[in-house]
Amino acid sequence: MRLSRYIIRRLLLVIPVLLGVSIFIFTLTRLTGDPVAAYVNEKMTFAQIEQVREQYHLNDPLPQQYLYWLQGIIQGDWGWSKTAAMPVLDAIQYYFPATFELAVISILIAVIVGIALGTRSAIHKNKPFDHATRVVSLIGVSIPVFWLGLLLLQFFYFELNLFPVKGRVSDSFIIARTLPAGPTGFYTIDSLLAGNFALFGDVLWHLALPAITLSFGSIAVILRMQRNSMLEVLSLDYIKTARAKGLDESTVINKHARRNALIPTTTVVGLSFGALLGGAVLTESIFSWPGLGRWSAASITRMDSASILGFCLIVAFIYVMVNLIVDILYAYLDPRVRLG
Amino acid sequence: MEGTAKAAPAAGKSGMNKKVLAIVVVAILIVAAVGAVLLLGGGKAQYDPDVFRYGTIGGNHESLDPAVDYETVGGEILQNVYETLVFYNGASSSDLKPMLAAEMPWISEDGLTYNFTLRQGVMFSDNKTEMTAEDVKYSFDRGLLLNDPHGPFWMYGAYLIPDYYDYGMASFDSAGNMVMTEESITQEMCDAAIWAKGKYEVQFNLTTPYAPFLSALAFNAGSIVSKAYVEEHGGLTKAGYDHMASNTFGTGPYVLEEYKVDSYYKLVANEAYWRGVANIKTVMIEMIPDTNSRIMALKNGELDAAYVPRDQIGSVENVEGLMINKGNPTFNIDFLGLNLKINKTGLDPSLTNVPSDFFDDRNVRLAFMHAFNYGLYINETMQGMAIQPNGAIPKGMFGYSDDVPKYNYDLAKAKEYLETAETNWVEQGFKLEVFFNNGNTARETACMQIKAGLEALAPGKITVTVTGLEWSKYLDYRKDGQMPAMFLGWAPDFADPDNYLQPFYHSAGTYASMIGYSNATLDAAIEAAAVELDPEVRAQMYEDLMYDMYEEALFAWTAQATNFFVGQDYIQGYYFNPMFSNLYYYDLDKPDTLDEE
Repeated sequence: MRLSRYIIRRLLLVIPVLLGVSIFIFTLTRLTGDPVAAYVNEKMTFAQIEQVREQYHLNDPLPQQYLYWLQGIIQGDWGWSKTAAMPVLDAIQYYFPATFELAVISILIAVIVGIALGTRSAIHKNKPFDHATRVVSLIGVSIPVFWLGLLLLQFFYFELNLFPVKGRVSDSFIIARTLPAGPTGFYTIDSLLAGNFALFGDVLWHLALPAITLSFGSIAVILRMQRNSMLEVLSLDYIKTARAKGLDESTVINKHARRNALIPTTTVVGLSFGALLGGAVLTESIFSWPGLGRWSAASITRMDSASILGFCLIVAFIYVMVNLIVDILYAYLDPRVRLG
Repeated sequence: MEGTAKAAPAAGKSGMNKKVLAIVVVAILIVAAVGAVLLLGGGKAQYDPDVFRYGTIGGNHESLDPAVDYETVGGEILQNVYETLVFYNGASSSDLKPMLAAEMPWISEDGLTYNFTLRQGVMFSDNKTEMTAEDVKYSFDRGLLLNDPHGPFWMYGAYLIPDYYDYGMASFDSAGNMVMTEESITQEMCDAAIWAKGKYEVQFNLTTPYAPFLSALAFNAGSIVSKAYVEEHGGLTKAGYDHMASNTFGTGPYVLEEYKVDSYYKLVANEAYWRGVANIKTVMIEMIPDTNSRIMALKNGELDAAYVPRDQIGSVENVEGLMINKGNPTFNIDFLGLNLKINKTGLDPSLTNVPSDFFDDRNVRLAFMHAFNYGLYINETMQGMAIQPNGAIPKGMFGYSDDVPKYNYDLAKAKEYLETAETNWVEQGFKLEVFFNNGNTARETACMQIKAGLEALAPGKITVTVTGLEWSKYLDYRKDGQMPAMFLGWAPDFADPDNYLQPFYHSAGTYASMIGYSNATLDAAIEAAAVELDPEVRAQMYEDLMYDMYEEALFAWTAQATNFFVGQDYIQGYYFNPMFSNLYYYDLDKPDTLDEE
C-alpha cells in the first residue's frame, strides 16, 4: 500500500517536471534562432515566409505560442516532425523501439560484464587482474565511441564478414516482405510473436555490434562503481563477522557483500540506462540505426522545434521513470531503505 | 547458527538460479546470433541481378506529394514513381522528349498556348486506371489550389495565374475541408489556365509568354497524379493532402512499396509500366549516414552504388571492382556575393568598418574578383571536381557561352583596383566580415581564401573576419541585407538560364535584392530573354547578358561542381544528367551473373 502510494505520488510529480522542462526547452528553441527556419527554403519570397510565420502562429507573443503548443500536447497533437516527415508522436513511436532494444541489450552486457569484473577486481585488489580491469575501464570511458564502432565494423564486418554493417534487419527480409508489421515495433518481440525465428536471430545479429559499442562506456562506469562499492563493503565489520563464522568465501561475496555493494551501482545503472534510452547519436549513425538519437540530432541541426520539444519531453519522462524504478529497486536491495 | 546454516544454502540456491538464468539468456542470444550468421552466410549480401542497392547519406523526404515536395530525397522517389508530360532526353538537360505526352506540344506563335496530345493507354500502377487529360488538369489544378508556399508550384502559378504572388496557401477548416478566401486561388482561375479538351488533349493558357515553361514542366512538380486515386483518399481536403504526403500512385517505372524513415526506401518495378517492366526489379535506397560505414559497405559489395563525398575520393579510387564517373558539370554553382547597400545595423563595427556603399564602387568589386584563388579552391577544396564558371549560367546549360571571359586570381591587379577606387583602400585599409552558412566546410574554406587574398594586399591594414551563420540567422541577415559579403551556392529548379539570371540579376530576384542591386536595363533584358521563343535569338540574348554580367562584377563565380558517382563496375546504363535527383533507375541494369576470376 505504502509502495503504491509512493509510486502514485512520484507519478504525479512527473507533471510539474515535464511542464518545467517544456517551458525551458520551448524558450530555448525560440531564443536560439528563428523557428520559421525549419519550414522555409531559400527559394521562398519574403512574403511567402511571412505566410508561413502566420500559419504557425510564429508572430504571436511567446507565452501564447507556448499555450498553443501545450494545448496541442494535451490533445495528442504534438506537431509535425519535419525531420521524420510524420507527426511527432508517430515519430517517437517509430524511433523508440529501436533505441529501447539497443539500450536493453547494451545495458544487459554492461551490467553482466561491469558487475562481474568490478566484483572480481575488488576481491583481487591491487593484483594483476585489478590493474588490468582498471586499464579496461579507463579505456572504456576514454575511447571515442565512433572510433570503437568503426574499429568493430572494420574487423567484424569488413575483414571477417561476421556481422552486418547497418540497420536493424537484413535486406533479404525486407525484400521478401517478411518483416512483421507490428504490433510492438520491437523487432525482437514482433519476430517471436510471428514465430519467425530466423528473423529473431537476424535482429539479434544486427544488435550485436552496436550494443557492444554502446555498452563499452557503461561497462567502464559500472565496473568502477562496483569495484569501489565492493571495496567499501568488504571492509565492513559484518563481512569480517561472516568470515569469522566460517562461511565459505563465495557465500560471503555473493550473498553478503555483492548485494549490498549493488546499491550505489544500481543508481549508476539506472542513469546509464536512462542516457541510453535518450539515444546515442554516434553509435546510431555509424550502424545506421533509426533511433531517437539520430532523430534528435537531425532535428536540432534543422531547428525542427516540434521534434526537439517532443524528444525532450519524452527523454524527461524516461529519466523520471528510470529514477522511480531505481528508487523502488533500492527498497528491494536494501530493506532498511524506506520509501517516503 | 542454525538459522544461518539454513539460510546459506537457500541463498546459494537462489544465487545459483540467477546465474543459471543469466547463462541461459546469454547462451540463447549467442546461439541465435551465431545461427543467424550461419544461416545468412556472413555479413556480405549475395549478388542479386534484380536488386539494386544504393547507399545514401540519410535524411528523409519532406513530402511525397509532387505538388509540395521541393528537395532531392523525395525528388528521387517522385522521379522514379511519377512521370511528367515531357522529360529529359538521356544525359541532356536541355533536350526534352515527350513522356506522358505523345509528342512535343503545339505552341502558339505568341507563346501563350501550349497544346498537348497525351499518350494513350498509359496506366497507373494498379493497371486499371488509365491516365487521361482529366488527370493532367487535376494534377495542375490541385497544385495551384493548394499553392503551398514551401513547394515548387510557383514555377507554374507565376505564368498560369494572373497576379499569382498575391495569393496565399490554401487553408483547411476544423473538419479538414479546404477553405476558399479572397486570398486563395480559385477553381475558376485554374479552369481558365488549364483545359482538358478531350480525353487525350490538354491545353495550358499562359498569362505571359515564358520560354522555360517546358523545362519547368519536366520538373517533378509537373508529375501527373490520378484524379480517381486522390479523390478516393480525400481529394482537396486535409486528409487528401496528408495522404499524398506519404503515399504515391503514379504511372512511372517504379512503385514505392515501402519506406521506413531513416532506414530505407523500397521501390519495386511497376508491372504495368507502359514502356516495359524495368530491368532492375527492386531498388533499395538505404540510409547509411556514416561515410566510413557506407564506403565499407560499397567496397564489400553490399551496395551497388553509394554517395561518396568528394574529399573521400582516395578511399574509392583504384579499388578493384569499383568504377568512378566524374567530370561532367552539374548545375550547382558557388559564388561570393558583394552587397552594394550594406545594412550596417547590428553589424559589429570592430569587424566591419567599410561604408554601406563600399561595393558600389566597381573597382572594389573588381579587386575582390581578382583576390580569390580559383585554382587553389577547385584543386584543393573541391578535389579538382569543379570548374570555374564564367558567369551565372553554368556550363552545359542552354544559353552558356564559352567565349565569355572569367576573372583570374591576380593579386597585383586586385591591389591596383583597390588603389584606384574612389578611396585608396590599400592605403586606408578596411575591416570586413564575410559570411557563409554554417556546416558547409567548402564555403568556409572559400571564405578563408578570400580573406587570405585580401589581407595579402595590405598586411595589417586589411582585416577580413569569416563568420558562419545558422540557417535561421542567415534568413534574418538575408532579409535585412546585413551581410557585406557572403559565400553561398545555387542549384536550379529547372534547366533554363532564366532560373539563374532572374534570382541573381533581376531587381526582384532573391540574390539581387539581397545585395541591393537594381538595374532597369538589365531587368528588361532578362524579361525579354525569358519570353523569347526563338532558341537562336534567345541564346544570343543570353550570351549578351553574360557579357553584361561580367562587366557588372557583382558576384565572384567561384566553382561549378562536376559530378562524382561511385558504383560497382558491373553497373550498366549509368549516365549523368544534372537535372536528375540522384538516379533514374529505369535505365540501369546489372548482369545476370558476375564473372568470378
